[in-house]
Formats: sequence, structure tokens, C-alpha cells
Amino acid sequence: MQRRALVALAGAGLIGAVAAGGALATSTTPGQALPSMTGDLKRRAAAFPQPVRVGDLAGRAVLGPMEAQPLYGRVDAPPVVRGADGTLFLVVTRAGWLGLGAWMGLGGTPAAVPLDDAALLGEHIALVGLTRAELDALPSFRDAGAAPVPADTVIRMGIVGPFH
Amino acid sequence: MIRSPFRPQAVPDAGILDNHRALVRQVTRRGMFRRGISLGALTMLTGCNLSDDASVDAALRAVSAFNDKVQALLFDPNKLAPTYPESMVLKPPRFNAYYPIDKVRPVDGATWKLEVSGRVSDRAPWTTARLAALPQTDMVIRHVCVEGWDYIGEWSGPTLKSFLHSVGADLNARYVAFHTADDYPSSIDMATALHPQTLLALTYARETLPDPYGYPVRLRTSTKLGYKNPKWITAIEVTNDYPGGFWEKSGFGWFAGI
Repeated sequence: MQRRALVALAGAGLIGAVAAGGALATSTTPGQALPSMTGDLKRRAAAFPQPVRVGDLAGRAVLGPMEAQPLYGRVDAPPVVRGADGTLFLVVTRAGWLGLGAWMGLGGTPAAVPLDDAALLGEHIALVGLTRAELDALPSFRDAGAAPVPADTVIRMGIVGPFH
Repeated sequence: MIRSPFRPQAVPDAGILDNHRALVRQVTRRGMFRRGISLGALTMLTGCNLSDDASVDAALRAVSAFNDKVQALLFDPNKLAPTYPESMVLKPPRFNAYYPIDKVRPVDGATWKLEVSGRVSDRAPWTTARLAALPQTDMVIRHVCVEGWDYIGEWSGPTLKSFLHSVGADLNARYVAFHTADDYPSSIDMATALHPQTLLALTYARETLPDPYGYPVRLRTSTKLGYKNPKWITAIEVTNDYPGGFWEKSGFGWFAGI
């Protein structure tokens, strides 16, 4: 038992020594767009759409598709609405001033994002078809004319892997 | 951009990294690893000639091999990883691979065969039906990725232990190695292979494994990092010769216990 503990300590020390180097290193520029963002990310994300329950989308973080995965906003409740022509939209509360809108549900304004401009990134959502500027430029979403999709409805969304 | 008050005003000259550009580039996957092989870590390697790429590489790999041995010593084959209620299961699970999602090449389950080789007495290939006929185990466990993210998932399938028994594997062999349809070789130690929470997973959240997550069969072990869970498995080999793995070739730890 004692031998095991000593070996463990030695191992932990060496792991720590290697990890300690990390603090001094430089990293990729935050916010730097990956090449995948320059055009075909939306097409890629649509390769293997997966079923997801609408109610499971509420509150998810909406992230930018770049290494830093910046927080752009959060999925509202109800999360998905159907437009007059049947198109599905994800309702996203934009981060707003200092990001407080996204964190606390305060101050940010909601926008209706076409569903295929968003993709599942694990428990988050990645914005794959709109830039941050395009998201910010969307008009503030009003409920008029759009029907909330019931929480138990299963829709299909594209998926992507992590960007970091 | 707000500058952190804790950020140092001056950092050490990074020029030393230029001499080791090839080694650092070799580990191209994630920034975390590049940062691991940085000025601070190199200066810890006292006795090494820092202008010699091979000696730095050898020293880092020796530390990693030592860590593997420590982890194997600490591994308790009877200790179960935490499990969670089904209500916490992320549906669908997170996709990840060493290539983007549109490069996934689905496997045809109707013609798929699982080859078996090495120290086994029965090398007959397996079909999905035969795997599904083994006793099935269901587990809700946390998937932990070396990149820092995690999620809770529900996996079902035969335990690797029951599969190894079925093929008459030499359970005293050191390694179980996997080959996959996406050229992602992987291997684990026999103790982990026999752990009750190491499955040949056929389903996720009680549904047939979808294509992007490894259909028809993938490994799910509760005691190792995500990259030790190969998907789209096509062959299993029981061996005493170190098989390595896809990321391990680039310097990732082999045991990768959690």
C-alpha cells in the first residue's frame, strides 16, 4: 500500500512538471476563424442530421464556430418556432451588453435563426450559417405569426465536432 | 479586449521553441498539448540537450510510459465508475473524431464482419446479430474527453469480457487491440478489457448506434478518456505486443485512465 502511494506521488509530480509548462505558452489568437468557417461549414454540419427533442434545446449556449467557441447567446423558451411558411427557426437570445443577456436572460434581445444555420455541438449549439455580425443584425423576434413547436416534438438538426 | 491583471508583462523568450518546431508540430491535434511541450516543460528536462529533438522526444515519452505504469498499478479492476440516471443522458451525444463530420464513412451493418485474431481459440468472424445475442449490459456513464469537455451517455452491448470469453481469448495476455473502419487503431490493457463497465456498445440511449457515433459497434469504457474508445470497430486482436494507437503515436498517454 505504502509503495503504491509513493509511486503515485512520483507519477503525480512528473505529470505536474509537464503540465506546469503550459502556463508560459502562447495560444492561438482568440476569435480567429477556422478555415472551415469560410464557406462550407453549414454544408458539412448537414451531413448527418440527428433527432433532438425540441424541449431539450431550451437554455443551451449558442457558440461561435471557432477555436475559442465564444458565447453568442442562449436558446430561448420556447426554443423553436414555425414561421408562416412552415420554416423552423431557433429562437436565440443574443448575448447583448457584456454578455449578460446570455448569462442571465436579461437585456439580450431574441432573434429567430433559421434552424439549418445552427448545429448541435454536444450539449451546446454552434452557429454554422451566420456570423456574429449577421446574428446581431437580425431583427428582434416577436411572437406574432410564429407558432411555438411543442416541447415533445422531435426535429432533426445537423451536428458538428468541437472547434478547439 | 480586457487584459487580465494577472497576465505577466513580459514572457520568456519563445525562441527556444523554434529549435523544436518539428516536435511541437508533430502534436498537431490540440493547443493543450502544444502548450504542454513548452518552455516550462523543456526546462524541467534537466540533463537533456535541448537542441536535440530526439532526446527531448525520448525523455517526454519516458515520462509518459512511466505515468502509464503508475496508472496501471493504481487501476482497481473491481471499482465501478459513477453511473447516472437516464434523465441526464445527452441526446444525441456529442460527435468527435480526428476529421470533420462530413468525412464520416458509414459502415454497412448487413455486410459488416468483426474479425478476431491473436491469442484466441476461435477466430470465426462475428456479425451484429451474434454480438446482440450475447448478454447485454446497459450503463449510463460520463464520457470525458482529453480536450476538457464531457457528457453523460447511455450505452448498451455485450461486455468486452463476455466477448473475450466467447472467443476463448488468453485472458493473461497484455493487450486488446482494435482496428476500425476509419483507420483509428487503438488498444487497451487486459485489466480494463475485463472491467464490468467496458462494453462493445451497440446502442446509444436504447437506440441502434447512429452512423456518426460508430455504428455498428464501438468500444465504451468508463475508466478511460474518450480517445480510448474506438468507433466503427472492424477487428479485435488479443496480443502481448504493444499495439499503440492513433493519438498515442503523436505522444498522447497510452493508459489514459480517469
